[in-house]
Amino acid sequence: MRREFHWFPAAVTGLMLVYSLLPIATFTLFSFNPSPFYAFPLTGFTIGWYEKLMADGRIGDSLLASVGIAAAVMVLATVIGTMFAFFVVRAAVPFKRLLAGLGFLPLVVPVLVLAAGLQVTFVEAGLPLGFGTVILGHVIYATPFVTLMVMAPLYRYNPVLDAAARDLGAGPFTTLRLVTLPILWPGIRSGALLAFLLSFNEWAIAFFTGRGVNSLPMLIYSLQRNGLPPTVLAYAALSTAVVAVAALAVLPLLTRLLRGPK
Amino acid sequence: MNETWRSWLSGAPWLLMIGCFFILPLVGLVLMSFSGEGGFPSLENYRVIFAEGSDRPVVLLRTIGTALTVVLLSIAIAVPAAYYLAKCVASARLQAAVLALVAVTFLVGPLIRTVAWRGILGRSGLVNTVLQAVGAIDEPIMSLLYGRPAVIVAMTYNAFPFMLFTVFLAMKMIDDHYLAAGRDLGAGPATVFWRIVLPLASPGIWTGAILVFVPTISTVLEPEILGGTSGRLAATEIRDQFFHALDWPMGSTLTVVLIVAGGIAILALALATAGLARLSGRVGIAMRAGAAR
Repeated sequence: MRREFHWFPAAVTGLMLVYSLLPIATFTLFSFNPSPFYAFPLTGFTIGWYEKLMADGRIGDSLLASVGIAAAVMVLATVIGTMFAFFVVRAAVPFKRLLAGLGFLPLVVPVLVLAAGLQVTFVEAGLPLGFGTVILGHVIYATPFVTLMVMAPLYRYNPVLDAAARDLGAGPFTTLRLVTLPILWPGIRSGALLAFLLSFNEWAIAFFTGRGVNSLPMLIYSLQRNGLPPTVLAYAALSTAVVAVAALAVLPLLTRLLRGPK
Repeated sequence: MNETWRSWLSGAPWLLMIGCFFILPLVGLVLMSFSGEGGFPSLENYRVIFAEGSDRPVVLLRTIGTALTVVLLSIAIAVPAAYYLAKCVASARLQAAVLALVAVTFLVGPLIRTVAWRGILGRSGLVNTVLQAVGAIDEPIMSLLYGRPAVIVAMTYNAFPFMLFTVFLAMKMIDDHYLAAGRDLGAGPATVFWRIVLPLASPGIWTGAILVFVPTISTVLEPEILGGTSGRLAATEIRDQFFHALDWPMGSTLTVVLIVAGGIAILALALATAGLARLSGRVGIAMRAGAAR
């Protein structure tokens, strides 16, 4: 189809990009500013805040805690979420629509509600609040997103492939391992990445269910209360860079998906 | 192992987890909301919330109003942008690049995304500095930060990508031939957008509206970091009941009331849009009936 240029949506898209990037650009700029305040004027250029960030033991500990939690959440949510995607797309059992809907309920219930409910439940059940409870809470939060990411390629998946593998003598498990999962892999990988990042940045559930767990969002939350040291800005800029590199890795896949089957 | 068995096995882990750590906690919250001074069950907490002179209903309305504003702003940003990307840009690479850029900034996380606005809206922030430099103002505008506008700007910033992604997908799925047919039959670009694209994309806009509304009614970061002394919102009150007042039954009651109020707001919005759609003629529905034939 002939594509036309429409100035209004084009302008809104441009403004949207400015809106998206402006805060990121601002804190990156100030992370190189010698002044200890997150405000103008710019007084020079320094990488001192990055050095201080690296030297700060608290940030290292928090980073370790956050990465540990996020890695555990990623593994659990990816396995459970992928299995549930198979349930949603392929299962033929009574009340399937109801059960599948139930599985996506966490998407429409506010995180704060989940966090408060989990805190009450954990305490009533006598479970000590700590890393385990935060991981459990984050798995509940992140798994529906993984399922959504895996469902898309699973709906497009041609079941003839499975039948062909069976005809060639592969058992159900071999078929899954050598045929089905490799084809679904891009979706699973994106879901895993998303689960990791969602957990890594999550604050409310950690705040409610993690007594003594000092994950990075918790540390930054407490740091920003007394004046936001520029080391936080340096951290923010670094983590943006990490996310950007991860995004570059999935960009070709996204382009191929958008180009479609034509 | 037969097919039914495998079906149950694939669903069981998540359904069990949802049951134990999602349904059960929510039921627990509801039960706890009914325990008051007079034992269980009691409507004590609900009575306190809606008692005369209580400011809770105002806080609740303010929360819902703020969240609806954020939803409308997200629609205003995301629908034109999604339309432009999905239907006006031919290059899949450009589409992917713009979406990935928004996704990257989104995945930096709400905490940093919120704190970042201090450097833009603050007394010596970007906006004031630029405005002073070009001579538009003499004194910095103090009210940019620490008030309702800053909270809404940051809330919209944190939530609009949900709208962008869902609306983009919805518009991407609309067959280009519909648009071409509309043009061939003499409709202008605006008519094509309002009478073909928008009705067909409305399920996506709805999904986006819910995905934006839900986190926005429950967030405590933006009001706390940027809100200053502007009116309190429900989520902050819930947090304070759990962590400062240590009144869990009251916190639970506020939570239940917030969910119910949010549900009512969504329902009201649905009815209002349905009414609007009826007023403007059932173009979208007619379109789809035509497509099915």
